[in-house]
Amino acid sequence: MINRQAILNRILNKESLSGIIGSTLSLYLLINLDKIIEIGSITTFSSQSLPKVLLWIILSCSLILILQGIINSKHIETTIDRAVVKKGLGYILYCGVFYLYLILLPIIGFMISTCMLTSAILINYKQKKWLNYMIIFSIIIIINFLFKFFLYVYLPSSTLWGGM
Amino acid sequence: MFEIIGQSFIQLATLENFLLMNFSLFFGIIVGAIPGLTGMLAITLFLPLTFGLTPVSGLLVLLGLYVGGVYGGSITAILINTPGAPAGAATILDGYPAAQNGKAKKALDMALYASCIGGVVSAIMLLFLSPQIAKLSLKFGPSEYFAISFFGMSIISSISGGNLLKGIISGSLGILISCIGVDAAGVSRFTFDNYRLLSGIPLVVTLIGLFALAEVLINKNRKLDIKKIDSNKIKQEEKLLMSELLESKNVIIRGTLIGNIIGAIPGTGGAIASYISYSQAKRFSKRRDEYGKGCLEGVAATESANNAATGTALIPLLTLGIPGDAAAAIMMGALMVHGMTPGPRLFTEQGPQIYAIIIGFTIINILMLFQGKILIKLFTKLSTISYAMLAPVIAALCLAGSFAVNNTIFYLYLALVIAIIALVMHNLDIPRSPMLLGLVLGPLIENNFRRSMAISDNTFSIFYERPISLVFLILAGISFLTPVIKQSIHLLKKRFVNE
Repeated sequence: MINRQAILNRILNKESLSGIIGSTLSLYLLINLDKIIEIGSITTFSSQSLPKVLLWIILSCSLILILQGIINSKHIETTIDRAVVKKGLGYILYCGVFYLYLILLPIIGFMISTCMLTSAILINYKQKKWLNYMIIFSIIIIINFLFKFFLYVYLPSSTLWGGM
Repeated sequence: MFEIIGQSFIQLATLENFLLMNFSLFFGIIVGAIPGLTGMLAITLFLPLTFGLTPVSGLLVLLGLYVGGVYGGSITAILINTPGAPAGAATILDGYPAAQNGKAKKALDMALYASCIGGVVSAIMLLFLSPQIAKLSLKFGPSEYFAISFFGMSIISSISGGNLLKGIISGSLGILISCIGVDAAGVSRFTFDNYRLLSGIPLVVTLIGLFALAEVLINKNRKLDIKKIDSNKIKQEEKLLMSELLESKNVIIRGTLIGNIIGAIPGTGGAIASYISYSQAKRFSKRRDEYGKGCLEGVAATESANNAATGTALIPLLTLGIPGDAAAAIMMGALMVHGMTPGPRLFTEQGPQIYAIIIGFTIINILMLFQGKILIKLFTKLSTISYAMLAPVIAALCLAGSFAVNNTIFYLYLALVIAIIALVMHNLDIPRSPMLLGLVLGPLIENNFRRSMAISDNTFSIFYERPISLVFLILAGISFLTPVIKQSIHLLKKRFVNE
């Protein structure tokens, strides 16, 4: 019986994973290229040519990476423990906070939403001093004014209470 | 030429430019001194802030950050054994032992003088060599430009960080991203029926996502242990004597020469130049045994070389439109944002502006000497700012900067998506610099290839019948294969030794 951990080792190393992601992406785009880039007539060098060449390059390199990963995996010890899963989930959560910020941005405006986002970043680094939070909030106010009066860029304001 | 230089002085000599050069240099040194933050990040963050400035003022700000970033890297390399930027890595070899031996002030002074000399000479080389190369390249047609851009892409093999396949994937992905939008033939590519993508993804948004916002995500689990620097103790130490500086003059001259030559070769950069300069200085020195134990000559060798590479690295960029490294690629993007297309026509069409920028670059290197002498205590204090305090500021600047490109929140989403792609790439050890090269050079390669094919009735002969394009295509092959062959030989030797 083949050891489950051995199979995981062969697949879950950085080379194989890069290869799997690269080949999946390039294959999907290659198959759907006619729909993604619609060209009227086929010429020697059309709008599809360069993307097609690049996708084939990515696909070939990805397949070699998968092979490299499988061959070299004998020398690499890969263990997927709780710490790795926790780290991965942490990154997803962190990106989620940024996504939430973008949803809130047009509703509560740049100043408040950015203060909330930066607070989340400070909490991530376990900052407890309130002074640090105040410094960051002051910098956000400066950034807002800098963009408004120096670049004439009006950063999004709140639609709830129109202004901030 | 001298008439244009005279005109350029009028554009340059304003109080606003003087203040901007000083401020940007100041911030550049601080960012360069903070471990993990590079001049590249500073340029990316400040790029949107330069939109409101004239091209000359805007580019002077970015050059100040670039120069300051390289010098700043040496401060923490000497004081806490951690280079602020990759170019300062070799300075650790003798800088940190010197600080341990109570010669921190002397090492910092030596780094400052050597950096200033290297930087000024490099800026003068840029001023006088660039127009000559630009004159030559005025004769180039689309096939030559295609070959040159292709040559620019070939440095992927040098900047792939050990895995060429991943570098090629990253570079190809960069070109694919540059294809997004309506192309020269009026066909929309990779827009997925989203009208906002028809004009493509602005380079500034991509840069912010790839190099600035991505850093905030990547450093989520960064440890915040800060080594404290006793700046009062450094102040009490002895200054560098003139005799000690003169003893290192040959090392500084050699380092400056090496830095100038290495910097002009695409795909190299300050870090390589400083290591080569260090090994050469050690080879020819009478004090060979003192190297690695705090020898001031070692600091002079590395710092003169890495700063000397900053100016000449801009020669292929300004004259041929080839960015020599990732920082130059960002500068290329910055030039384009300010309506200046790098290449030979830059010197004829926008002569006064470009000369003003190059002269400003020389002045920035001189200002570095004064700032370094007067503000070194402040720099050492600020270089220990906790990353926890920097991350929120970087994030806020990234988000405001992305919005400022076109006053739309959609670009913030794009920046976040690109940052997440960069995070995945970082975790899979896929280098990001080749992607940047692809982004910048992709459109040049495609457009010039199309034009060449149209001229030659769809035959490839145009590329090998014209001598300059043939030479650059051969150079591209050599440039691509040399690191690959070197790496293969190294691996074979290693295997042979193990067996």
